[in-house]
Amino acid sequence: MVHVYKGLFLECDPPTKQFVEYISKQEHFEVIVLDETHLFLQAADEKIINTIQRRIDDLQNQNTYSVFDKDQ
Amino acid sequence: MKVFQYLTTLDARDLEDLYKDSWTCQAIVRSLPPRAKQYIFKMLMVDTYPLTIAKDWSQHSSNHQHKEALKKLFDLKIILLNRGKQQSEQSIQLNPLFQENIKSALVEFDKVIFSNSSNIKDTNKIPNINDLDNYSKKQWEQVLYFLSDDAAQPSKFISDLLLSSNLTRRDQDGSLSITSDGFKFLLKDVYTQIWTLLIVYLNDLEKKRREGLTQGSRNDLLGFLFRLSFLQLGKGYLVGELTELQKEYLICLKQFGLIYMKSDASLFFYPTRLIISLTTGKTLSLIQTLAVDKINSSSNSANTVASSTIEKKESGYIVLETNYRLYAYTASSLQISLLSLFVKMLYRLPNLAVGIITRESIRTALIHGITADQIIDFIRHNAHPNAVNNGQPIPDVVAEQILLWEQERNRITYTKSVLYNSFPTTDCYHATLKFAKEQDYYIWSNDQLKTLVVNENGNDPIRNFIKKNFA
Repeated sequence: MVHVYKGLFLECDPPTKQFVEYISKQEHFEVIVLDETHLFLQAADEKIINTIQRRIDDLQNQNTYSVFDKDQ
Repeated sequence: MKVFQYLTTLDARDLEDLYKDSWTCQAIVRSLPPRAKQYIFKMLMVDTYPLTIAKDWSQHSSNHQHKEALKKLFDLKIILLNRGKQQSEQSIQLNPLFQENIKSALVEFDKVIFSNSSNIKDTNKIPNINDLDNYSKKQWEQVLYFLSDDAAQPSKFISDLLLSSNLTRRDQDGSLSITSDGFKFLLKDVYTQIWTLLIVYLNDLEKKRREGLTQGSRNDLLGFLFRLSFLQLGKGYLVGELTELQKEYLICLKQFGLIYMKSDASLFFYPTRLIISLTTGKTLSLIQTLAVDKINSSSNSANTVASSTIEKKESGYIVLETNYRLYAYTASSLQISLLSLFVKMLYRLPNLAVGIITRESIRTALIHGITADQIIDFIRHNAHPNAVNNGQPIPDVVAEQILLWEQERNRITYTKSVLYNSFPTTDCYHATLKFAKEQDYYIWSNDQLKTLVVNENGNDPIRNFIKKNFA
């Protein structure tokens, strides 16, 4: 029988996809991997998207070096 | 939102009402794109036009513009479609009211909007064009000040307007603070800004009218605005000739700097450049044309030096270097507070402010809902003449970097959707896939995995489809 899942269809670049997969365990949401750039978040809502956005943001901040923002 | 987009949102009855006024019709014709204008004049003297012939108005290569022009006219209800029984019987015609008004406008040259031939002379000093420009600029900047500076105290009319347009909001302690819409608003051009507020004013008026609080109506004011846009710059018009309602509007428009009056009780009012170019959509480069006009008008005046310093400031003040440093040659606190929305300001000298664009400063702006394009456009529009002459008002490297900073915040896009897998047979999968594509629910699929993703709306129809055909 056909299985039906409701949720969010996510499109992103491959590194981000890996990262979302990685944090899925910590943030407790189920991921179905579709391909390199697409994921399906089972039963997800806006709240989870916000969490993911925040985590990606944190990751980016860690990887940025700025003379001006730190010195002044 | 611009006025003609706004007009298309009105219903047919309101538009009919507006088209009763000949000046409104003329203002609309004046502001349409050339192709749409041409179509109106093509149809002006005929009653109906078979739709099949209208298709030949355009060459195949410019079919897109043709459709766009027609759509615009349909949206404004200027062209009406008569449905025939068959495709070939369909015909189009101009809105009769509109047609009649444009026809009569073409033959009557000497129509006057508000007569100014009266014997009463303005006892106050008559403002010249420069005074009017300065006045409208000052008034409008003041409105923007209310937004960018919390300490400023706007008049009740303006603050109500800013509140109901969601540009500011009232905090718990009763003070007003700017919203993210307000930030976006500040970076737009004057033309869009004025229309945004006017449209809010129009809607408020309509709401009040429904509640019976005021006699004025939206259509009335729109007609009045269009009428004002035909007035001549630098001429005074008698307030006494207006109706009571129009006088009320006048006081409001005065606060935007659209109209100049010495005091609320003045006998004369003077239209400013803002209102005259309001419906022609040319205010976009208002600041630039002001500067050009000033060069022309001041070329034989004694104080050329003084006015040319003003020009420099008005025609743009931003120099942005490839090292992300930004120099703003301005003394205006408004301009500096605008810049500080997305620039980290470092120091300020009497006629110069220096800042630097950093990842953090751009991020703050992005979080407020300002887009990278808005920032780049803002810098481009306000670039210092020297930067423009160098051919690069904004260095590519900085523009690219701002776009990149925006993109890194939008690394994922998502849609609410439904996923189907474990289809019993390949036929079942392909049939469902075909159905989803036909009904426009399709988002993603993979033949190997036999997995299909459709949008939310597709859930019920597809469920039923599978049940009906394969259960």
